[in-house]
Amino acid sequence: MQLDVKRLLKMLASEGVLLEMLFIKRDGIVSLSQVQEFTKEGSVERLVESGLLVSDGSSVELDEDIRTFFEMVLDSSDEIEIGNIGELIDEISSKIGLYRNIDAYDLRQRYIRRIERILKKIPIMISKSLIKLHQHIHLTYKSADAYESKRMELHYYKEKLGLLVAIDKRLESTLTLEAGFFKNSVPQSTSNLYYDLKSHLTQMRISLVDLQRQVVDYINKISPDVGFFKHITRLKALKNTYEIKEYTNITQQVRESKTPLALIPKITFSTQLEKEYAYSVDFTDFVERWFAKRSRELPENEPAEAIDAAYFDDSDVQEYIVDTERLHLEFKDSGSDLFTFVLHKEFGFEQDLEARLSTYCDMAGLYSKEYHFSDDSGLYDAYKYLIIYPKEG
Amino acid sequence: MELPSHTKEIFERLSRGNFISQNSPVPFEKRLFEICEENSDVLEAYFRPIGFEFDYGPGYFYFSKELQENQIETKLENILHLLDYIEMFLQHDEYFAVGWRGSPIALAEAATDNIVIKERIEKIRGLSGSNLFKKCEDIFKKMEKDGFMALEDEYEKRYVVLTSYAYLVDFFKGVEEVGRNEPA
Repeated sequence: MQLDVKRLLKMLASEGVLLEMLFIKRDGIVSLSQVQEFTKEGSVERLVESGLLVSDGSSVELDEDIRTFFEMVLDSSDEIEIGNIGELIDEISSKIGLYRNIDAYDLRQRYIRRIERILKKIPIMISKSLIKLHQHIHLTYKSADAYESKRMELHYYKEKLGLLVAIDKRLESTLTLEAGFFKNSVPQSTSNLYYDLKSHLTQMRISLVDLQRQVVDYINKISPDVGFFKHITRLKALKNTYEIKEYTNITQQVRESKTPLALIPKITFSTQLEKEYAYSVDFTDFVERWFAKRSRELPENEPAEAIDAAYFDDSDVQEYIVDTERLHLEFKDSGSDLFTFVLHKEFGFEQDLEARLSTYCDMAGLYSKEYHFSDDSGLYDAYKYLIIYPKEG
Repeated sequence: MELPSHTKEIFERLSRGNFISQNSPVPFEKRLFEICEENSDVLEAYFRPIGFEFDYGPGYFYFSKELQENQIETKLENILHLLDYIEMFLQHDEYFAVGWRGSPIALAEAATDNIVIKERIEKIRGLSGSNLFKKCEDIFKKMEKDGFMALEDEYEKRYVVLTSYAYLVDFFKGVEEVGRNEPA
């Protein structure tokens, strides 16, 4: 069905809801039954006949031209169409050629208007491509899951950037070649657009170089570090053979590298401070004051006066100490009970009954695990004592 | 001293031995990273008097401590334990690095098909899991506990390697072979 502008606009207006839905879902599959809810019976067939929709009998979608038209107007396409810029550059050369070969004023004006439109369009297309590439590159690097597909996508964008560089060179070359035409033969408005485009290209080159550097950096970052893999495999082999400490500097590296708390045992301590206070701003002052105080050096104590040498001559002190360990060993071989053993033991120095009783108690306490405490008791000089024997074996 | 917002939350995380990583899947953690990045000087000066060194690497912040002589063996032991994990992950996928994503189920599947990975997993000590999948789960949880991975998708049990992993990479890159004569 042949459409004119009036009928096209009318159809677009009357089927607005349906077309909007199809545009939103343009990357998915919309079934014929889903579409029926959005329009009257017979409308889908009419739209297909008019070339606005395409249907395979089960699903429906917007015609490619309509879809592209919407995307271009709404600037919502994800595609990066750098190739079109090349065609526009070719068209500039072609229109300039035609302009030069034709004297008719009207035709010349037509060519000039077309050249002007192209000069306006190219920087917009380049900017859009750069913005989209920028978004895609960052999004791919940060969100894509599988490394292999991430790498492939980044390489694809790197190629696109390469195309933009080539386009830039072609454009620069065309503009240089036709510099005389733009400076001398055309109206001022066309000449201004020429200079705007030249200036735009200069700015674009800066962004382009940055973006190229970025994409290469991302590709390097996601590329496997083969050297590191080999290094880790080697270290693991040395670990398995218990040689890692001997044949690497790992202990030195442990000592010299920073130590995150995660790698050492947790140290816990408690304070009397309220938790909330500890986080308050006052706490900062408190800590700083405390730290300043702590950092101060303690005053040195004045040394005491020297002790008179005569003191050591006059105060000769001797003290005998019972060697309980030796006594215990002797007792084990004595065949006697502990009290009788201690009472009759010859110590080689004066030990009265009180001292012997004290030794008996010390021994019973110190070696209780090695002694057998019987239920029997004895009586000596008004002291009742428990009869204790060494355990056998 | 004008402290940045969320100093309390930063302290709580770092003092527990955690890292604050730039690529954390938790938006609040990312915010904390930004705060640390914008206020690193202030935070460094604030934490030092109370005995915490506020340190950083590319894309991560952490508290470090001066290593005591009796802690050297513990640190070495922990590092060598992590070496087992890293080597196993690299056997599984040579792209294992900051930003890598994976799940226990994918690792278990890989181990079923690849005897080398399975053997590595079997030999990692301290894994309490009763079967291969549980062991793989333990591995991811241990990496998460140590602050080198984070659970990105709870439903799919998908983890992401955090920027803090760069600490381990730098550490191991600094380990060189010494003292062995080359064969003639």
